[in-house]
Amino acid sequence: MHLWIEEKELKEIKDKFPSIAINKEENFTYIQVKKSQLLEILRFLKDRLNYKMFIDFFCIDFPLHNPRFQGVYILFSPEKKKRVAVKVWAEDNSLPSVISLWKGAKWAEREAWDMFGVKFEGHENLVRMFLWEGYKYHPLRKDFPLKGYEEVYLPSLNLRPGEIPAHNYSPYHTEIPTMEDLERTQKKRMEKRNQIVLNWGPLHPGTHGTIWFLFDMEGEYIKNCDIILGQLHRGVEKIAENLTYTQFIPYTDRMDYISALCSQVAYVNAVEKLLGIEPPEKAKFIRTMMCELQRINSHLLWLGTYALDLGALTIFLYAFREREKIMDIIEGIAGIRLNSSYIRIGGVAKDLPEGALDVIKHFCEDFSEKIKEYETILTKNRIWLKRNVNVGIITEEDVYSYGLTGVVARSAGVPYDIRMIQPTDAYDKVDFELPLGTVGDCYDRYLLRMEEMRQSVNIVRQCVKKLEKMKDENYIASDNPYVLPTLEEVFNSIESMVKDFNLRIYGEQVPEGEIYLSGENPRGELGFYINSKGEGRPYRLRIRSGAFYNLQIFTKLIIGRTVADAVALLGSLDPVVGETDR
Amino acid sequence: MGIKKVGLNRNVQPQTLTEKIFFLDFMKGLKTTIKHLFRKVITVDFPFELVEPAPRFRGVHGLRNVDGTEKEDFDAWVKKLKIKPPEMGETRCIACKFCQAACPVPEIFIIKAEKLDVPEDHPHHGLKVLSQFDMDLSKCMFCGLCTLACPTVCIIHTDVYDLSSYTRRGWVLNKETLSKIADDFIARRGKEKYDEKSHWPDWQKIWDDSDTARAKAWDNNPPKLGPNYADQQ
Repeated sequence: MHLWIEEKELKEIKDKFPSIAINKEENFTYIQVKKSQLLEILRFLKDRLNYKMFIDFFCIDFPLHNPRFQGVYILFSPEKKKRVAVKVWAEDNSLPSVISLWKGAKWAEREAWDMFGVKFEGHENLVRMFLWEGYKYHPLRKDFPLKGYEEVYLPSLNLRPGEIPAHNYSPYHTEIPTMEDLERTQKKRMEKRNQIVLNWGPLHPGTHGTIWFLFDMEGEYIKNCDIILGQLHRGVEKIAENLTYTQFIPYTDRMDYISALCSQVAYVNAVEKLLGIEPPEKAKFIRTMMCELQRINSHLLWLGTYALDLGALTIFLYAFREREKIMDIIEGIAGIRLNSSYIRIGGVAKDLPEGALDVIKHFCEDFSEKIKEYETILTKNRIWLKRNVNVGIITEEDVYSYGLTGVVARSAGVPYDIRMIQPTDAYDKVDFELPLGTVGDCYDRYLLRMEEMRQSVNIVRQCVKKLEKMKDENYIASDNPYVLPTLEEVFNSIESMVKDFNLRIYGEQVPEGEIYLSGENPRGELGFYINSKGEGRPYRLRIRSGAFYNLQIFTKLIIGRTVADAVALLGSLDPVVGETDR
Repeated sequence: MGIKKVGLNRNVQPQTLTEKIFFLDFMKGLKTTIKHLFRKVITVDFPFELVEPAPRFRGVHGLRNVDGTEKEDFDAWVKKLKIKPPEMGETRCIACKFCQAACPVPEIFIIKAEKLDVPEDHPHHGLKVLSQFDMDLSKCMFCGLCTLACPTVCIIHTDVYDLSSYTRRGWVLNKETLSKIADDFIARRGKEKYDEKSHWPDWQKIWDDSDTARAKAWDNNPPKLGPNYADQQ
């Protein structure tokens, strides 16, 4: 199922702006525009054609082309449920800023400046997004080596003189920020206008990871806020350009490490669409089932830590009790508790082991009772109500302007769920309800996640029922030339062995093309844009992270509130730093 | 499929006056916590009580030795790569470096094979032996791609999970250590994981259901394991 803009509307745009070029393909439809017309066309798309939701902006580097960088905007129309992409060449290494249209573009443009060195005219504060001020390079450019420039001498501290270092240890390291660099970064982000600038993080248990918040405070109240990201930036997009498609699967786990299976499924679905592989029915149901288990797992972790932040320690212990069971299930099926790398291109890595469905059924049986237990403690508790109700209200306008997705968007009453509007895997074959909030405050987001857990159990039950009848079906489409054969096939036939060898060493030779496909992560829409030049490695892989865009609204919602509310608000937005920083 | 509206005044009613006056919200919550006081303990007493990892668990790597359960085409691989035919108890590794090629972080491996220094009339003249096989596990993601690429089922994942070390050197395992880990693992749990031709059977139990430590973590009410599919029951 494709969500790209229809022919009729493309014609309407072409009539209005004759100079544009339209490229309509099955996986990616874009309009190529000139830089001078960009803002005009985007405004036309937003106001006239209702493509008012900002999904993503990113750049692609073409070193041999002049101008070198290409910017890509992806927009969504909530009424028509269609997407459109707009491409523009960055002449003179600069593009007009679109903050006036969508506020969500602010961080995306800063990221493009950080990674590619593309300037944005009219941006309010164009500073680096992930790296520190004063860093010399723009790492996602094609001429930047994968390992970086190893120019800082950093000898091992515990190496005695004369001792040979272990393995291939090198005393030279890529540049790391000094204290002065960090100070400069902090000063450039936010100006002190009030009484005190409070640093919250980067290592604070309330931030759920390594996020560095700057609060400009007037007494107890926050007057201005900015966030410094990048402490967990590993350059996953750069790594992807140097690996085969299968080898990148373990890295997708490590982005959103709390819901690894969901990220794997989102990535693998995009690659499969590009390759034209249809996974077998059984694999689809296994994926859906595992995704929903992972969603419950992720929401349980959120519930536990969120309640812990607001002072309810008991819930943390109760939630982890159930989470441990899901961890056990995932360990038994996939092999590892957290970063499972279980999904493969064309199916799943291994069939379900004996007893897996029994264990899952057993878990589903008493889980609804456990949710009731959590709710009796929290839902009507007066402290819980005081801390949550009417804190951090998100409006529908914010959702479109900031590109909010997932629970955060649904709490504002926007029915945006990728599982519904673009069902992948077996989501179109299972029945579930979409919970929607009414006010958009932290309390709504709490109720939504509790309701989502119930719906997920429901989906898992339906999948188990279907899987019980699929004994002899294949779990991986290994007859496809792009899919790695199973172990048994490799052992039994020489053709499979040659295919296995070729796929592992040279990678899947993906045909030339582009795709943008997303999956519903517990944190929001996790989109993968893949640009293939017909090689075994992607030319450009962009990860549209839901948590990255959701976190951006924090700076707006916190203004005028207290530090105590910051804890509640951040918890209810539920970012995972592995995904925001990538 | 449908849409379900949630929120205060929708599916949750605000606190009533009686609830506010008599602190019924706290009472209900405390009832739940007090009920838990009388439940059995679910925490596993870690260093004294261990949960046995599932058969599919991917822990520290091991290098298997020749023990008579090689795959049928093992000899053909040895011949093809000009490796000295290994005897009982010697490593199965044929230095093909498929594991390194399949690995997302190839810097983990240092694999070297050396030619044997023997006179020309010796039967092993011109053949190689594995001289170095180092793995830096501090860089490893335990994704399992190397074990699937191995043509001789030499490199395997064991169930060892304690990897802590005071220095980085402690995470660099050489071929002797890896062999020892694998031998130990095969002696303990080899039968559960591999059949007599080193194949990894699809039909394994998700975990050992007689494990008391795991049963504790499952609320002292562990699930009964049976076949997955309806027509097998």
